[in-house]
Amino acid sequence: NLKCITHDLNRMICSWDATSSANLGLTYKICYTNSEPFSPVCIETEGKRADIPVTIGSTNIQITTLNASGTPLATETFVLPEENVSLIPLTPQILNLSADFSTYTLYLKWNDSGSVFQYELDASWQIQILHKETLETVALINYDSKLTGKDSILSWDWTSDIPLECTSYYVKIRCYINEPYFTGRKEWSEWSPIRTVPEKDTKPNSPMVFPQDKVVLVGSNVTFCCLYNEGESIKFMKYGSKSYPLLRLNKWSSAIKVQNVSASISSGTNVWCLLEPDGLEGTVLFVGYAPDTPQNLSCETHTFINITCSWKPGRATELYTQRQTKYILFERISKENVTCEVDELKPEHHCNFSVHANQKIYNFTLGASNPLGQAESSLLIDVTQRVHLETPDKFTVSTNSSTNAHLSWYIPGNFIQIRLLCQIEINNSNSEQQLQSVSMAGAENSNYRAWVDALHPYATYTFRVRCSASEHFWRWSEWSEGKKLTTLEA
Amino acid sequence: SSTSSSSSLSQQEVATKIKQTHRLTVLLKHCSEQLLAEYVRHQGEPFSSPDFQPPAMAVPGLPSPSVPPEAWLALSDGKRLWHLAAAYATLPGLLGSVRRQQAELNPLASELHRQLEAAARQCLGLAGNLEGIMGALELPGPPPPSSSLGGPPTSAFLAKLTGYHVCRLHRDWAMRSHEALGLLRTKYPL
Amino acid sequence: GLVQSCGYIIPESPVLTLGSNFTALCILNESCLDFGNIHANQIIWKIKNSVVPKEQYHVINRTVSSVTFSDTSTLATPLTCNVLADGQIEQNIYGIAVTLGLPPEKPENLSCIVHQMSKTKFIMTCTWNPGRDTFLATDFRLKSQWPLETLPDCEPQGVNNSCGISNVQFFVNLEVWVEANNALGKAESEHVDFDPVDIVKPLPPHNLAVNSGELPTVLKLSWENQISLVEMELKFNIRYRISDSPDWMEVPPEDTASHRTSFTVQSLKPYTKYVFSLRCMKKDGLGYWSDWSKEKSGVTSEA
Repeated sequence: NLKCITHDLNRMICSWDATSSANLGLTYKICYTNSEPFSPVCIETEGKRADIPVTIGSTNIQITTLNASGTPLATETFVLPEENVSLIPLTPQILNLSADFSTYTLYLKWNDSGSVFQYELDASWQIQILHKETLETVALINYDSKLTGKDSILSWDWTSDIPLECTSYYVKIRCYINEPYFTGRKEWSEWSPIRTVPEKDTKPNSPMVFPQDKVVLVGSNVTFCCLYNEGESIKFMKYGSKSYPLLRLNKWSSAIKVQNVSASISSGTNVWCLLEPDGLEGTVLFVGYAPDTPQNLSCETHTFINITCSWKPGRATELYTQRQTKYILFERISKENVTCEVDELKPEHHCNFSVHANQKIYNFTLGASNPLGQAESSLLIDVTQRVHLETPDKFTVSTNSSTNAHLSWYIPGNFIQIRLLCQIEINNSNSEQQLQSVSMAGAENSNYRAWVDALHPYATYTFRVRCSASEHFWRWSEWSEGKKLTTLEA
Repeated sequence: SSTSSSSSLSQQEVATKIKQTHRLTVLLKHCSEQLLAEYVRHQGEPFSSPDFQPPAMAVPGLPSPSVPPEAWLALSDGKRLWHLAAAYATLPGLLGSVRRQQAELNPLASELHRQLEAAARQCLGLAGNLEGIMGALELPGPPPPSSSLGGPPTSAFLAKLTGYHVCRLHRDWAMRSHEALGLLRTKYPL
Repeated sequence: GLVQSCGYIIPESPVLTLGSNFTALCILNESCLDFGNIHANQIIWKIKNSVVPKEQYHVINRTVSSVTFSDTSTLATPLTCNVLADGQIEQNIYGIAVTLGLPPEKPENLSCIVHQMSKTKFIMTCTWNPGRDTFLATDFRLKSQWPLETLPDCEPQGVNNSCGISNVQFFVNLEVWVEANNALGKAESEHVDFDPVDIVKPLPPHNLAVNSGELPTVLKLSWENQISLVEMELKFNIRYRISDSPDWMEVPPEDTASHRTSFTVQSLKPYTKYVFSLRCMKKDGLGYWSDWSKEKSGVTSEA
């Protein structure tokens, strides 16, 4: 029964049975040569195994049993063709097994012991994941890699469809080397020592239903599990008000699978299990939508100090406070970004971006993100073509004649770069209305004046004014408050 | 004249204070029932189902009015007031914590926020009134209030459950205080 | 290089009480003395651009000259210290801004009323007489406290004689007072102590309904009270008039002195259209009458 296996195609370990019953004090002398005419090499060993080199073709082996005084008792000769040698890779070792409980993902790292072979080889790996209690296989995955003659760390991850806290897992791996020119048998290595997922630290009164406070898209399928202690049992488990069939994972964990979940209320949908004798454990699932593409994105400046972008959020995400949509306004040219403070309860959102000296063109991208996804809208503007002035303030009208009137108003902001166009609305007591336009140079935080003539003597008029940018009209400001004036008698 | 907790209050002033405080407990009882109903309405099942009876849960710093009714009635006025004052020294902080958690979980529930804020204020007022009465009757004052719920709950469900227990205990203590002040009012008629 | 100032005035930017006296000192820098061969007696004090009479000057020493005003009402900004250097060119040494005003007076007539804004919302508005104009920025605050709890200050918005508190708590005695502060002093009003439930002006009853009764001389009114019974019991005034008459008649107050949500008005003319309105206040008479409710009409049945 001579058996020879090699781990590295360089040396092989041969072992044999010895029929004689008196095994005490026996030693063995092994002499080996390959088919080449070399002189045999002999070694002595006490165990019934020997480590000898692998040679191409067949190897002649002679094993002599010696008694304690060295007297040969028996000799056996073998011709060991390569075919009878088994290539069994070294048992792999898992270097690291970690878990991301939030994404149900296991991360595995191991050393491929590539340096055992001096040349490139194809290797196959099997990764087996088992339920710790039942040892039932959860997953058996094949993974191929290439040994490169050097040790390299391989890594691989596996995502469970149920929370990792729900049951403990064993993980083990084994290896298979596919050396095409080796004619002997090629077998899987031994399974690596088992590794278990680092136990989720389940403190005594910490929540016992998982996942905790998860956020998922509407329509998702979600599995929940309820953990209970020794001596407890589970009566039922509900998603909101609906009870679901219990799937027993192990003796202290049961699960339910909920399909196609719908949007939750603001405080989330409760998932809870009632325990015997009297326990109540639960978790909350937040079901919503990824952010919609920001709609009607529009940016304008009121004062040339800030650019105010406004937009509509689009479809409600049904997620609030810490799960609400966050907005970042990014400007490509200056590479600056602003985190926007928005009130999730308002239908329209605003965000301010500082106007930069000597920058006319602004290439905005508004990014919207929440735990379920992100979206963005872009807008390119020339700030001088997006001027929406503040309402004219401190509007005064005066006259010292019977046919004309002086108007004055104040507009905050720095409009030195542009000309303004202002419209003066004149209503007389017969509710006849006139509109007069006047263009003027822009100034900084300044009062503006205008002059209206051709009025009727001793007549009462109501004046209002609004302004906009002159060259590139964008929007009128709001009308100023109305001011009454009576011209002097002729 | 300003009411103070010194024992210089006349019998009439003590009776007035007790009547005022009894009216406050009537208001508190009414509002605490409304608060519990409003609270469960926003937490989703199982909280919102009428037959929801979770196992009791200890709320740090707030004893539950576990003394059975007969034993409660057998207590002395001073002992009853002491229990009430101890509970109402803690309830404002607890209700404040629940309000902050609900602002996080239910930002749109403005009526719930209003009721939680009003409840905390009512409890604070009642604590002051009780202390005033105890001072006037020269009874030993309660222990200082313990802090709010301690650290934030580790999960949304625990926050909902803890809030539920605080609101329920608030209602239970309101009923107890209403009963106790009713008794006191008969002893100190105007 | 920087122009080095040749002196300075103390006090810098004083706030002065109108009608009081005031003395300022102009102190010349040693370096300037040598440079310009200047003496304190060459100092000329000016208010705006008019020279202060020399009688008010006092040369203390070579570098210091003072000026005294027995009544600050004559003062204005700026008060400058100038020197008539050689060659008779007047040089400004330094100038200060002078702010004149008065310390706040004790706020008077502090009174408060709790307005019911909705079924559950109350706002307590306290008003007071802020006293004379101080000509200075004067900060008014409405302070309040419970016997064992200080409550947040109420900061008047845009006015100096009233403030609204929204967190009203019935059945707990509240002590309120007003504090006024400005650069020249501080004043505090009398403290007022009350239970807010006793100063409520409730919302009027609503959803008034008028139904004819069995008798042709009777109409039955029913309504809803907007303030909760746990907050207060109410008493009512009910008034009515024949629809085409301007003259109101009133149900005797003693008949509606108890809490209710309905009342049957009697001794009416048959087959006549009447208009009704009612108001309410706290049953014990503490507080304020609500406004009158919306009018509602009804017709008595035929005889």
